[in-house]
Amino acid sequence: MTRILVAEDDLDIRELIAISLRYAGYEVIPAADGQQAVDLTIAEKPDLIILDVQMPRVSGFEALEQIKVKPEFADTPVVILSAKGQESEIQAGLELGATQYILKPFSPDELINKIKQIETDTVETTVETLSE
Amino acid sequence: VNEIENGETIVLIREQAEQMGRMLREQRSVATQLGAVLAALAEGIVLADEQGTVVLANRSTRRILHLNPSSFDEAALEGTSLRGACIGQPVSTLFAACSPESRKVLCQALTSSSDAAGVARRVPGKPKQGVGVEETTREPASVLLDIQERVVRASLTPMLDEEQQFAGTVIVLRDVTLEQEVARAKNDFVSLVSHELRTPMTSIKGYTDLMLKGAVGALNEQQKSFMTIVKSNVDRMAELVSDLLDVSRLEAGRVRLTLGRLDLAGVILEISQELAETMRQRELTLHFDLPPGLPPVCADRRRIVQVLLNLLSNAYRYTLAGGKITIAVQALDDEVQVDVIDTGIGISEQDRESIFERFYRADHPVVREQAGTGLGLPIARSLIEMHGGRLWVRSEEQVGSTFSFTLPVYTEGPAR
Repeated sequence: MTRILVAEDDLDIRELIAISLRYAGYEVIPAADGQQAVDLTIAEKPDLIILDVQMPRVSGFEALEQIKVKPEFADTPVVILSAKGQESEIQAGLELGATQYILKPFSPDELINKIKQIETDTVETTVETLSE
Repeated sequence: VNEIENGETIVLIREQAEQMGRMLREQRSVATQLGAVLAALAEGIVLADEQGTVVLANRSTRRILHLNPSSFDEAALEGTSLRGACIGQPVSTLFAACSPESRKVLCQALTSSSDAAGVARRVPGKPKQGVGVEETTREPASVLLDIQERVVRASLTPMLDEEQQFAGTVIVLRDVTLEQEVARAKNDFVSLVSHELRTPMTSIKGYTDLMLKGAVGALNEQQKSFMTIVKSNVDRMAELVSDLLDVSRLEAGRVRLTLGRLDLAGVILEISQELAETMRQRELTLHFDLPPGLPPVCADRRRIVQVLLNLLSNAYRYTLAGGKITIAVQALDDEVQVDVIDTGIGISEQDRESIFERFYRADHPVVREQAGTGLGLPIARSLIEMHGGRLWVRSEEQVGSTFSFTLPVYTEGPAR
């Protein structure tokens, strides 16, 4: 089962994402801020990470930066979920290594579809790498 | 006879001298008036010759450019314009307090100003009579300069002489620090409000969606209907927030396009698939006129999808059941034109330009029935114009409307 770390400081939204992911058959590792996201990523080694941007202590972008410098997580897909939708913010997230940037408000179906797409792309990339 | 002739010559010389005296007095009077105008202006005015040497600078220039008082010899004021150490120096001397980046931008703008005059540079030493500001409908080149925590807008207009030769540049300087701060504060406020609204909307929309899909148990028909109303209203709020943010960013010039090669036909077909269910529910048919071999366009995919979705949503909102919507694309010389044609209610002549104004909504019962912010079309037009294209409408009431836009054809090489 794919294990997904969800870092979101708003409890209602964290619960919403967790329920949606569990309903779609994923295992969820919740984190309440960026620092917890980094610590739990190292401890739990999730298959995919969902990060909010504006979080206390360590922001989503800072957490992403700290995670991506570690070679073992260089290929771990990261989805940014944010209410910040300026081009510069989206660009910054993607440049830091995010795979997808989803703007709030989002529908649970939209999130699940993006995750399924990432899983498919990852499988295809793995197959391509193996066949090379 | 000689005495008579001498007398006439003396009269003639006196008349000539008096005439010259009058002309000199008139010229001095005009010069004094112009000098007074220059001195009274809150804007800085700098006149540079064709070599980029300062010929004239008014008093406000010193204040705006934070020039050292010693740069200007106030005692040497002639009339009311400043003459001092900087006169006869390169224009860059005046802008010494600017950041290096700003000086570079200004130098580029000065070069562009002379190039924009569309004429060869003057041969040094050539007479300069009859110099005047270029008569053109083109807006002056405008650059923003950072000067010691202030922001100054410099507008550059090339001057041409009687022979239409480039004779120099008029630089108008205006301190726009306050305007910039107000614009930034407004933008920050809109961003903050948008962020604060989007967060609770995420919960409302997300939990509503979960309930509607039966994630926490089956809903009866009435519960489903009520939840659908909540969902459609939160979607409307999300659209409004998004539009307000876009308008604010467009006004502040903060929208940046990511231009690249774009296959328009592919994008249109992709969007149409997303809209298929909506079209079916509204009993509308969607048709395409996408000739083979269309050239790719140079565009920002995300923004073009936004424009197309706006035009298509207008088309289906204002076309009654049984109607038809057609998307036609045609290649022109160096552009591609997209037409979104509907058989809807049409737009009255008086509303045709107003619909591109922010928050304007036509006074029509069908329009009032539909949710909308009145921001979609102004945003779409601005986005297309940022691409170097045009967006316009043709319409006939009770017959339908055609919204058209153009985009430049993609060419290999430097981005346009």
